[in-house]
Amino acid sequence: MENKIRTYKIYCILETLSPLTHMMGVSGNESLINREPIIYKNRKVFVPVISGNSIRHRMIRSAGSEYLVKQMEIDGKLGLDQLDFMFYGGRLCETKTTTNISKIAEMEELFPLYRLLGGSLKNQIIAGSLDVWRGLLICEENRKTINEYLPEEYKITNKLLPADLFIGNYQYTRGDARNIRNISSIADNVSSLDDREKSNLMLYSGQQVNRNSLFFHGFSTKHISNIEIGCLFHSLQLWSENCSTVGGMAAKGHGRVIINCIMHDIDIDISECILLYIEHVKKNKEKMVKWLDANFPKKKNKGDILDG
Amino acid sequence: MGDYFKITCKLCSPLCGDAPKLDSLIVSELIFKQKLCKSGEKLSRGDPISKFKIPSIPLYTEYFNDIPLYHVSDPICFIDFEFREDFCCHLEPELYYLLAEKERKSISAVSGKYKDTRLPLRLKHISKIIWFCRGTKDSILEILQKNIFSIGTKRKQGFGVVSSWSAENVDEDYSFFAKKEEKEVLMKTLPELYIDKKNTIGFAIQYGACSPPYWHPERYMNVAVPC
Repeated sequence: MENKIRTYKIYCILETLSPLTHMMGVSGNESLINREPIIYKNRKVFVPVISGNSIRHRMIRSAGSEYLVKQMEIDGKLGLDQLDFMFYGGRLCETKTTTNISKIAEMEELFPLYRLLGGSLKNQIIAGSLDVWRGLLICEENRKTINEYLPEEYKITNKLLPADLFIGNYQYTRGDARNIRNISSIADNVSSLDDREKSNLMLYSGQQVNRNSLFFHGFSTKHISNIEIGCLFHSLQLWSENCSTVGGMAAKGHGRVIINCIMHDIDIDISECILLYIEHVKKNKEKMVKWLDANFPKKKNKGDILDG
Repeated sequence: MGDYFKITCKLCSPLCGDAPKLDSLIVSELIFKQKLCKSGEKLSRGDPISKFKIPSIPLYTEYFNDIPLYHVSDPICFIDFEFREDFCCHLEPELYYLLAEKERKSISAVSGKYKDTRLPLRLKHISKIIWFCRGTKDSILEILQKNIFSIGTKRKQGFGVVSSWSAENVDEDYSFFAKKEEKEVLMKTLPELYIDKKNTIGFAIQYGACSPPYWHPERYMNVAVPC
């Protein structure tokens, strides 16, 4: 397969299989879902949106980095700075910033994932080549905007449902400890009557995007090779296989989604690209560990220094 | 002489930060495309600009004290409204099992290196951005349509996605000045000494740059900025 540097646009549809709670804050004791203001029929309306930052972290960086950690066999051996770089993009922490091009080139060659996403070494920021679009709820208010993203043949012509119909509420209850049978036998410190009279029942509620809602989002990648496109789809595949979630409260079953990609104008075999990436990682895993240790050295114990 | 035309950019997601100068967009894209930046070579703030070859771009260019002044106006944004969104990042405890034993220590999440981030972003809902230009219309449009998919800052997070670029001829050259009642309205950031202050309106004197690379200290001088 010809390894050409190219530019791609990948269009995706996310379908929510459980309530989505991608929050923006609270009002009183109710959590609010993330919304963005848009102009619809000459007035400002607020429609739910999934931030590109969240999609990028969950679908690509987190899933791809977990794979790398497993392949490099460094789970339980990572330094804090290494973990920060791999899973959160790292941060500048040295006062003097430099541009060491050979270091950047080495990183981009070894880690196609971080060539896509970019990141920050201790003294330099490295730009990525993947733009992740925001997740737009497929609703009537967003129809015009979504059509601006889409190529001619996929444009939505039918009228859609309004955004309000996709929004619901949840409420959960943390039970009252007083109602637990035989509480005195399991908790010694609830001996005084005063304590027993205090209720710790808690109701908490918030907004959600209902299940079976659809979100449109996508990726645009600039000047990337087959290995990088393989890396992108491999990360998406891993994320989909490992109970893919977006937003918060995944522990309560929220945010489960499935992704469908529209392969428009992509004339390469994606499965071959994925294999290319897997081979690349297997071939270079020792070099990758060395690079990480050289750029994010772990603190040594006294004993280690004495040992040499 | 070149055509007189206006470039219109329509956006389909909010713009983060300010709209870019068109000449800087084109120069940076051409540097990448023509591979003027050889491996191991990158212009930094400490290097003289003469070390680096600025590509010629299809815009009419004047020189003022050896500084190229491209005939393109500053961006004119049609802003519907502005709003704020927070950009968050924090270390999730669920990944700490991956750490080596001696790295499992208490860290501060409120200050220092591993501080949690909640960065407010200034976002603009913009219907379109316009630049008035003088140059070769088709070449400019081709560069923009083929290479520029998003503008502004935080592009990787989905801000400033471009839905279309278009170009339209105009009658006069509005790239530097536009006439208004026998006076001239400033349309582009220009050196203070370049403009005729008596006949020009709508500007403020600031310290900044008027030609790419806009971030380079050698380009800094007293400039007249449209306002």
